[in-house]
Amino acid sequence: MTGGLVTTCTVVKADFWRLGQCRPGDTIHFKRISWESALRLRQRTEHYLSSVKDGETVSLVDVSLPDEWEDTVLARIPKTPTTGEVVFRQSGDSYLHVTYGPMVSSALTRALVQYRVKRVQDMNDIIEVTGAVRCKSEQPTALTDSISRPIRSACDNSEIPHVTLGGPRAQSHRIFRVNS
Amino acid sequence: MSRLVDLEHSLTGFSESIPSRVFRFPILFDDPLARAAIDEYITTLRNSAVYLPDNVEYVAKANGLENSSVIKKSLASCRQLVVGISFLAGMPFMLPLDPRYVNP
Repeated sequence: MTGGLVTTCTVVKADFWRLGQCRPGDTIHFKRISWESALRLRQRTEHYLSSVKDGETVSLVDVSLPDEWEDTVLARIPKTPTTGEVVFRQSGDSYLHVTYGPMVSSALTRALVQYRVKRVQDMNDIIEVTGAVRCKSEQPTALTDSISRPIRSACDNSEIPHVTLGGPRAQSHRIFRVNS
Repeated sequence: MSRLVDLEHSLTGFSESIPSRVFRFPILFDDPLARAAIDEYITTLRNSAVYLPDNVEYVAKANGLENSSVIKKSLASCRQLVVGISFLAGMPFMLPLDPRYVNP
C-alpha cells in the first residue's frame, strides 16, 4: 500500500508482522505468490497467533514459501470513446486495484473515478473504496471474513482509508527477512 | 468482481457534476521565505538532488520545457481541481481544469 506512488509489489497481510520486524540495514527478498497462497499463509499466521493466545505450546513459525503464482490482472475492459482501458488487478490479498486509461493524471479521469467510487460505495459487500488520481481500490468483505480477525487486531490498519496505486506490474509478493 | 465489471459496462455516459468549492489563494514564486527554506534544507538535510536548488525549474525540465515560466503561468492562470491534501504535509494535489495547461 502506498499513498499513490507506483509500486511493483505488495506485502501480503500474513507478513505484515515480519515487515514490522525489519530494521535499517536488513535485507528484504520478495517472492511472487498466488492469491490462494496468500490466504493460506494468512490462515497459518492466524492459527499460530491463536495458539499463542490460548496458551498452547507452539513450535517455531513456519516460514516456508509456496512456489505457485498467477497473473495479477483479473479483468480488462477495452477503451471506449469516454473511458480509457479499465484494468482490474489484485492488490495484495485484500484489495482490488482498478486503473483508468494510460499513466497520465487529469481532472477528467479523476472525475470519472469519483463517479464510480460513489456507486461502488453503495454495494453492500464492499468494506471500503478509495478514489485516487487514476484508480480506485476496493476491499470486498468476502476476502476478510473469518480468516482475518486475529491478525487485524494485531497489525492491520484497514480501518484507516488508504489508497493503493499498484502500477502496471503490481503483484502479490511475499516478503521475508534474511538473517545475515 | 463480476459486479464491478458489470458496473463499468453500465456506465456509458458521464453527466454528473461533482460538488466543489472555490478558494482563491495568492501565490508567490522565488520569494525570500521560500528561498530561505530551500537554503536551510540544502544546509541541513542534503546539498544535492534533482529538484535543487530550484524545484520549479526541475518540474519544468521533467516536463520537457525550456524554463519554468510555463509552469508558473499554468499555476497562476488556470483553475486547479484539488483531488488530495497533504500527501506532502499541508500541500494540495492539484490537476488543471483546462487540459491545455501544463500538468506538473
